[in-house]
Amino acid sequence: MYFDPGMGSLIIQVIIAALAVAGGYFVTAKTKFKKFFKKKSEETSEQTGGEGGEDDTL
Amino acid sequence: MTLSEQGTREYSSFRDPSGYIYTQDGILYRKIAPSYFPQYDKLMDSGLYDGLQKFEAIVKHQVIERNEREITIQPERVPYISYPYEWTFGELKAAALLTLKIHRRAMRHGMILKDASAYNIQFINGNPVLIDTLSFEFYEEGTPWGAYGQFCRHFLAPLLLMKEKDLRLNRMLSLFIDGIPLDIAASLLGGRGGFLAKEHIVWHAKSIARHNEDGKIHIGRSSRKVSVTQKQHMAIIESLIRGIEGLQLKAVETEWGDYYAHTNYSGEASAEKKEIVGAFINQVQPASVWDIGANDGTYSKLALSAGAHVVAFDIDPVAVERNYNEVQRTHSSMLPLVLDVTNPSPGIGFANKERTVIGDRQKPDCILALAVIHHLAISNNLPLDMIAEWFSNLSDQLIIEFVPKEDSQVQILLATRKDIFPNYTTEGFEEVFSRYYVLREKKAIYNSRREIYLWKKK
Repeated sequence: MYFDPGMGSLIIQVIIAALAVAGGYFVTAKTKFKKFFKKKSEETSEQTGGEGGEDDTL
Repeated sequence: MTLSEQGTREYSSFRDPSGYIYTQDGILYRKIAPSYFPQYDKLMDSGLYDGLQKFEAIVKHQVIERNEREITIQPERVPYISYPYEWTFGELKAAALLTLKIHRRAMRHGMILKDASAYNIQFINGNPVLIDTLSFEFYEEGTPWGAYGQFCRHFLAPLLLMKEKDLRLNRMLSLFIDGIPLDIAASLLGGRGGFLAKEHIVWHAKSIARHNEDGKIHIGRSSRKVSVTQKQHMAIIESLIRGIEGLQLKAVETEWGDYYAHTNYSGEASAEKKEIVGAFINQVQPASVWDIGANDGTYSKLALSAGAHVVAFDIDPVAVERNYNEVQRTHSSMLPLVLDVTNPSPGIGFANKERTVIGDRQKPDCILALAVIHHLAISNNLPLDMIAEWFSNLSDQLIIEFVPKEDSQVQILLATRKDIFPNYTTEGFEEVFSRYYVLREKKAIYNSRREIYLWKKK
C-alpha cells in the first residue's frame, strides 16, 4: 500500500500495531493463566476440547 | 437466459467499479465486471464464501449467467433495507463486529474486506448480514487495512458517541454519508471513551490531519511504503473486536423506555386490545407490516404471529433497543428501527438517492398505528388530514387506535398547552380518514374511551 489521500489512516496503523500485538500477548497470557488456575481448582481431568478451531467462530 | 440491461440500476451501488445492482421485473440482480472475476472466483473457490454462509454472515446468491463480459448473480432479498442512523446501539455494535469478523476470516483465506461501510450490512431475523458480495479483495502481505478509516467513521465513532454522550448521536450519520469525521468525533467525545477512543479516534484524527497534505509533498517523488505485517494487521483487528465487544450501555431511562408500566390500560383492556388488533391483522393477512410507534414491539408480535415480516419503528432508542435484544434472542422476523415519524430519515447522498426515504425502499401491506395519533396531532400539531394522507400513501390497510381528548394520556399532553384542536374528536377523526379510506371495522376497547379502526384505502 502506497501513500494515497487516506494515508493518515494507514500510518496510524503502523503506530498502533505494536500496542495491538502487545495487547494480544497480554490477553492470551491472561486467558492461559485463568485457565490454569481454573483447572487446578476444579481438579477436573475432563478434556475441554482445546481452544476452539477457526471454524467454531466467525 | 440472457438478461438485458433494461432493468433499473440502483443508486446505492454506483460507486463500485467491480459491478452494480439493478432490479428487473421486481427481482434484484448484481452484475460483476471482468476486472473483478479473479476476486469473485477466489471468494467462491477458497472456502471463504461457504465458511461465511455457515455463520449466515453473507447474503446468499445464485449465479444466473456467466460469460466473458459479465457474471450475473441473484442475491437473496433482504426483507427491509435499513440504515445505520436508524439502528440502535445494539444493532450498530452487531454490524460492527460482523464487519471485523468477516475481515478476519477473509484474511485467513488470503483476502480482505476492501471497504467497511455500514450500508453493506443489513438485518435478517435479528442477525446482521453482509449484502455486498463484491467487498472482497486480495490481501497483499505487508499492507495495512485500507478500510480502517471507513470502519472508524461508520462504526466506532458513532458507537463511542452513543455510549459516552447520547444514544441519539448515530443520527449524525445521516449528515455524513461516509461516516462521522474523526476530528468531530474526537472533539465531541472530549477525552471520554478510554484507550479505544484515544487510539482509533483521537490519534487517528491527528494522523489524518498531519498527513492530509502528503499527496502534494510526494508529487514527483517515489512513494514511501507503509508496512504492517500480517501478524500486526490481525492484532489490530483482534484489539478492535475486543474493544467493541466490551462496549456496554449504561442503564438509561427515557421518556418511553418503560411505557407499558405507565399506560392507563388495565390488564383486561390490554388483553382486549391485543385480541382486537390480532383479529384485524388476521382479516388483512399481510405479508409485511410497519408498526409505527411500536415501543418495545409488544403489539408487533401479533403481526409476527400472523406470519408477517414486521418493521417496528419507534422514536425511543431505549424501547427499540429492548425490542432488538428480544429479536436477536428469538430470531423473529422483525426489524426494530429508531424513527421520528414527524421527521423521518431523509434521502441522502448523490441526487438524494443513494440512501432513500422509508417509503421508497418498500411499502408495507398494512400499517399498525396504536396509541400514536395523539402524539402526532396534539404534541406535534400535525393536521389529521395530513396524517391520513401520509398513511394512505404508504399502505392500503391501516389499523389505527384513536385516543380521544378525554383520555388521561391526552389530558397530560393538553395540561401544559392551549387546546387548539377543536377537530380532534372521534367524529372529526372518522370524517377526515373517510376521505382516504373505507371503514372496514371499528371496535371499542373495554373500559376505556379508545377505539381501534380497520381502514382500507379508497
